[in-house]
Parts: sequence; structure tokens; C-alpha cells
Amino acid sequence: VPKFVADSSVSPTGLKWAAPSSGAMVKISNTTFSNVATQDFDGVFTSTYKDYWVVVNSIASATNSDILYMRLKYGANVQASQYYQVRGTLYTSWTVQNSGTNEIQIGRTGDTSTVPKGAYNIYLHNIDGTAQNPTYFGEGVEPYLLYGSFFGGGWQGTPTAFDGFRLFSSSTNITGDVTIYGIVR
Amino acid sequence: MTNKIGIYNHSTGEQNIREMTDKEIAEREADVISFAAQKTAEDAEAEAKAAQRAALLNRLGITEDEAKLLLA
Repeated sequence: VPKFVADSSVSPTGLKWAAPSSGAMVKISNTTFSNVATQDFDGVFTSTYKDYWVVVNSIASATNSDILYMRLKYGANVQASQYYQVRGTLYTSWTVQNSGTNEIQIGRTGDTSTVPKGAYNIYLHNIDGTAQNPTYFGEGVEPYLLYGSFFGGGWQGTPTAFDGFRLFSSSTNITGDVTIYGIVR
Repeated sequence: MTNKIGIYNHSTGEQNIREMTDKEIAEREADVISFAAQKTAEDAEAEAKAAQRAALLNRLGITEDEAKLLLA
């Protein structure tokens, strides 16, 4: 729960938000976007937080056969290699595969013309790349055609302090709503 | 497809939309071609496995539902 504390840096002494305690989960941002080829989230990973929970509340593209992908960023650079991962897709039966290494494969988007849209949880750990290489996993569903998805893996490149990420689809533009939470160090 | 990129800047808390640069468009188009080729390969693999499964069931003289019962 957010709290106020005395702020002696102003005169007369006022109030300021208290720093969240270690281990607390804090809502960092909520972003909506419409009909973009890619959606970037810049400067979201900072030294304040240890782990992150990216909630894709809804995601859709022109066709629900499109796949939603993620790439990590550092500054203006987009990391497009050295992701290693396994994933399972549930559609009448499980399909298990090792995904490509150029991006994180999340799952099918929904379709902008149908409801409900796709929705996913993405968990990111050690994302600053200093203690150990980043790892990620998550799950979700494209609920119109009923494609379930589970995925997880890690980035195996040289330690890099990632500070953001990019979402995009395998083909068409995306429309969505994303909320990001951080776990305070 | 419009070539726009959305950027949420967490320093300012603002969402900006801009046109992609020529370089970004070229990279995006290369990605789309790569993903399409990957999907084609995956679909071909799935079709080949389905054909192998059908041929095996035919040799055994059982249906797919009967095979599922055996493996359950």
C-alpha cells in the first residue's frame, strides 16, 4: 500500500511518497496502442526493481494466426539473437518445440474483428543482466480459436543491462493493452 | 500495413507514435519473410507427421480413436 512520509527537503516540511519496501509489487505503467507495426516499452527496466511481470491484457492483429513476439532492448538497440527457449502450444493436443533464437515467441494474437483477444503473462528475471543472464517464462491463450501457450527460456548472450522491450507480430500490425509490474529489490 | 512504431517512454510516461525509418521497415519486412518461411516449414512437418500417422494406422487396421484408446 503506498504511504506518505515527511519530506524535509522542502520548507515547511511536507509529504512525499514513501519508497516501496523490498519485495513489494509496484505497478509501473499501463499502455494502450493501436494498429502499430511494433510497440516499444523504453526505459522500463531500472535498478529499482528485481523482477518484472508483463501483463498483456489484450493483444490482437489482423488475423489470429499471427504470433506475438518479444525482443529485449538496451537504449535504442533491439536484441535480435541468442534467445533459447522451449514452448508448448495446446490446440486439441500439445505441440512441443524449441523455438527460433531471434526473438521470444509468446503465442497467437487475437483477431481485431473478434472477441475475446489474446492475453498473456510474461515473467522476466535478472533482466539487468549483471548477476546472471536474463530468463523469462509465461503463459496465455488466444481464446477465440482456443490456442493455449506456455513458453520459457533465457538469453544466452554477453551480459547486457536491458532496459526495455519490443512487442510485434509475425505479420500484421498489433493493437493491445499492456500493464507492467515490478518487484522492488 | 501501416509502418508506424509505438514507443512508450517510461521516463516521461508518454506514448509516442512515429513513422518507421527505411532501415526499420527493411528489418520488419525481413522478419515477416522469415516468420512466413518458418511457418511454412512447420506446417510441412506437421502434414508429414499426419501422413505418417495415417499410414501407420492403416497398416495396423485401426482408427485414430482406437489408437488413442490403446495409448490412454
